Amino acid sequence: MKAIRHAMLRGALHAARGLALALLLLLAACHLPRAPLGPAPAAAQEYEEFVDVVPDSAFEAKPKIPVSYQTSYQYDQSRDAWLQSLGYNPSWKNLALGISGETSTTEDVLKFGSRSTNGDFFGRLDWRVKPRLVLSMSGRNSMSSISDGIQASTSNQRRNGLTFQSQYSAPPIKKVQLTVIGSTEFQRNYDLRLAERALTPKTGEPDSVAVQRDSSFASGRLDAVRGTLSWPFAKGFLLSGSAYGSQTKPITTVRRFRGTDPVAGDGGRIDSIDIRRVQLPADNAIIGGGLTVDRIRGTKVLLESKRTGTDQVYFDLGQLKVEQLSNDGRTHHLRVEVVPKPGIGFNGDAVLRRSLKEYVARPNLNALVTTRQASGMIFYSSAFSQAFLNFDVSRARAERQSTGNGNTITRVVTTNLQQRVFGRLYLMGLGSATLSSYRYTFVPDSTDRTFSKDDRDVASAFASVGARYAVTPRCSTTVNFSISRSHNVAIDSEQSSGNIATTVYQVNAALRLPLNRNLSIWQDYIATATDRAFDYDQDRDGLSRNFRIETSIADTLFPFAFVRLDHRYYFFDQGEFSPLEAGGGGARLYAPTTEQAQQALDGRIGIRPVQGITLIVKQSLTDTVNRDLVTGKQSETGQWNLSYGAEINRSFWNGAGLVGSIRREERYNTQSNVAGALGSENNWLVSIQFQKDF
Amino acid sequence: MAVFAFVLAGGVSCDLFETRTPNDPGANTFPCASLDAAENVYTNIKLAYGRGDGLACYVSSLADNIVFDFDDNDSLTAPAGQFLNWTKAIEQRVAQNVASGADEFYLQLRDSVIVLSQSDVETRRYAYEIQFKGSGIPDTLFQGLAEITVRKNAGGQWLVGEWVDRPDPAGTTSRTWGYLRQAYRIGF
Repeated sequence: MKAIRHAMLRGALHAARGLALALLLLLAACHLPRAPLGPAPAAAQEYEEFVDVVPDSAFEAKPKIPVSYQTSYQYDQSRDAWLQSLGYNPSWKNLALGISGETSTTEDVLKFGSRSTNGDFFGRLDWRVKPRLVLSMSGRNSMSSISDGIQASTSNQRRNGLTFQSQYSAPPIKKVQLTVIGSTEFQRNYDLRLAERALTPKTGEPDSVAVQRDSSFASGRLDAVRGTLSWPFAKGFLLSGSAYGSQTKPITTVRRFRGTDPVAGDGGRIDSIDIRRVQLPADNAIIGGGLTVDRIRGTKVLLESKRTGTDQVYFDLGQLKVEQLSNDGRTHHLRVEVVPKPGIGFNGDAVLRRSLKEYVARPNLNALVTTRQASGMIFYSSAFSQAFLNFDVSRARAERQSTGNGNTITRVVTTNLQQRVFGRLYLMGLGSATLSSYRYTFVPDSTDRTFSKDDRDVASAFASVGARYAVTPRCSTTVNFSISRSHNVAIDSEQSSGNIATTVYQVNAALRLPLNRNLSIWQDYIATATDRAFDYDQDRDGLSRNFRIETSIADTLFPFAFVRLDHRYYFFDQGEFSPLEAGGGGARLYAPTTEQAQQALDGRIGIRPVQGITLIVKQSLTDTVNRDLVTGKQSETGQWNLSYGAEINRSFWNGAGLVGSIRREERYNTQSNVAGALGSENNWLVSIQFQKDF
Repeated sequence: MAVFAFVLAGGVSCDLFETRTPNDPGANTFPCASLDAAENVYTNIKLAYGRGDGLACYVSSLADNIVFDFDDNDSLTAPAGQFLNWTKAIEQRVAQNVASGADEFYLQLRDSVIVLSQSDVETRRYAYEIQFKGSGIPDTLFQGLAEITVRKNAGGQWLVGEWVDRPDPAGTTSRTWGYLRQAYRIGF
């Protein structure tokens, strides 16, 4: 008995020590002296907080791993894109090598003709010198080039980095696992923005363009140290923490050029050149800690806290200034998970978050946002039933902003229920309600208003009930009814005239009927009514209704061919309500003003001449009738669509694979009595991907 | 099951999701065109953007899954994350900030070109110019080309589905609408 008591006491002491340390760490995280964000924040240089610890698994011997190559090409009526990637990651007992590269080119051919090219090349070598010591070297080169099709402006970016890193994992002492990483990265960043604008020529002078060329070159060394700690100090208690600190002092050279060039011939004029050299230090610190308590069966508690103080200095191409951004963040999170018995559970979260962002070149983006958030979820699951209920409330307070200061309150509740009634009959229900309330800071003015004129609430709700009956495992029918409503409410009289509530009612049903192994029939029915009600302008209230039936019949004639037939019927009308009688009495009757009826018939045949290649031809006809019920006018249009092409999904020699499709689409209109509606359009659509391991 | 239904019903009935009571606008009525024609959507953008009383009208003209395609150069030159995940909800808050941050706002959409016109989709390209004066930013002129695609949804409404924004080579500034927008995405 004495031994048991002694063991319990020792366990309690361990727990108390662990708890004290955890609290100390959390306290440190909460009151960490801010990294010297100082007068001048940091580097154009991006710091990398989450550089992965090199795991032992990186040295699993895989010396004969192949080089993998992949390329893809896509083309449609507005865009074409080509992407290539290459990867090679062999590893040996104490050595791991990783090389990867990716390039992509995109052209926005029909819209504005813009073009962008991106490339990224990365290499890394890890060498396990001793069982607990790993030395690493990595290099990265990335580029981005974007030009507007009209050549109004072009932007280029280059990022180069070379990193040397050492990692030491201390031998576990009383289950404490500690890993420390130190690194030095040499960085070179280059940005260029070129803009040209045509100038109106004076009489007798040649056409010319104004040229604006802004560039920056940043060079620096980023020294960083990071550590992670994991300590299961007692059974069911785990203390974890991580810390990161870095320092850099990059030199940024900014060059701004303004000039004029003739469109043809030589010459040109320099209007101004401005060259500046800036050196600003940047320090970053991030510390976080967490305590996980998993002592009581079915219950888990997690308490974590994080504090970040980071700086960035970079050349802002938009502002043409050296930007100094400081970011101060704090997050505290408590999570409780309780599963008293299988199938029933509760999760609760409470989060406090504070984010302060301060810019020098763009002070309009300064913001201090403090958020308090709580959420809870109950779930229930059994062989016949499944249900969950989720509730989320949050309050975000925005301060120090140029506009939009104030509180945003959000409440969300969602639920989902599913119950098997008997046999193969299931009932399903979904529900949600949301309120977003924007309460801006009120600045007293000459009016008698007591709140901000911008105050606004947005409420929405959704409910759905349905049933599914599976006649056989492959044959089923589904019926569903849903209502969704949203209400947009501006509070002030200057803005409330547009307040509107939109309600959508929908009934849908589906039938899935496979008649035999080759022949299947599907049918879908959907009826929708959309009601729009203005709070203060009832003359504009409106209603629209539509009804749709879609039928599909598919038959696999032979193992190498299929045929499919689709039919769609669509009816739509919309209209207004009659006004109330003088004095506000009487009923408001609905009178449709326009209606549309549409039928579409699609037929397609597919043949697979060889494994992995399918040839498909599709023909469709759509007939649309529009009626104006007020004037009695009617118009009818027909549209023919023909599509043919091939789909491919096949493997070739030695693991090479080709996946994609090529398709020609042709469309033309007929029977039109609407001026300008006749016409045709033809497009090629291509999407192809090739991959191969060498 | 009963517990779930009870909690849900309780939450809704306790007015947790109730909006505040707005003030009657009286005679102040913003002329928002109905969305039964593609033309009206462009008109709403032109008239409603940049106005506090037009915000509901502007936002009602956007599809829930609207996609914004800002100029790559703008994305490259803006602080990291300024254009990230630009959804309808973000656009609404930004439009609100632009409206409340503007002391003077004048938007002109001109040189309309119909790029695509079908029964349920239409794309127009406009050269735009925004004259702006606000306390948040020093810039006062924004120019560019906006290619706006509107689509007819199942309810018969025409809504903006895609919005492409590029600089105008014929303009006098490369500051675009997207540049103005990102300048007012603050704190979210």
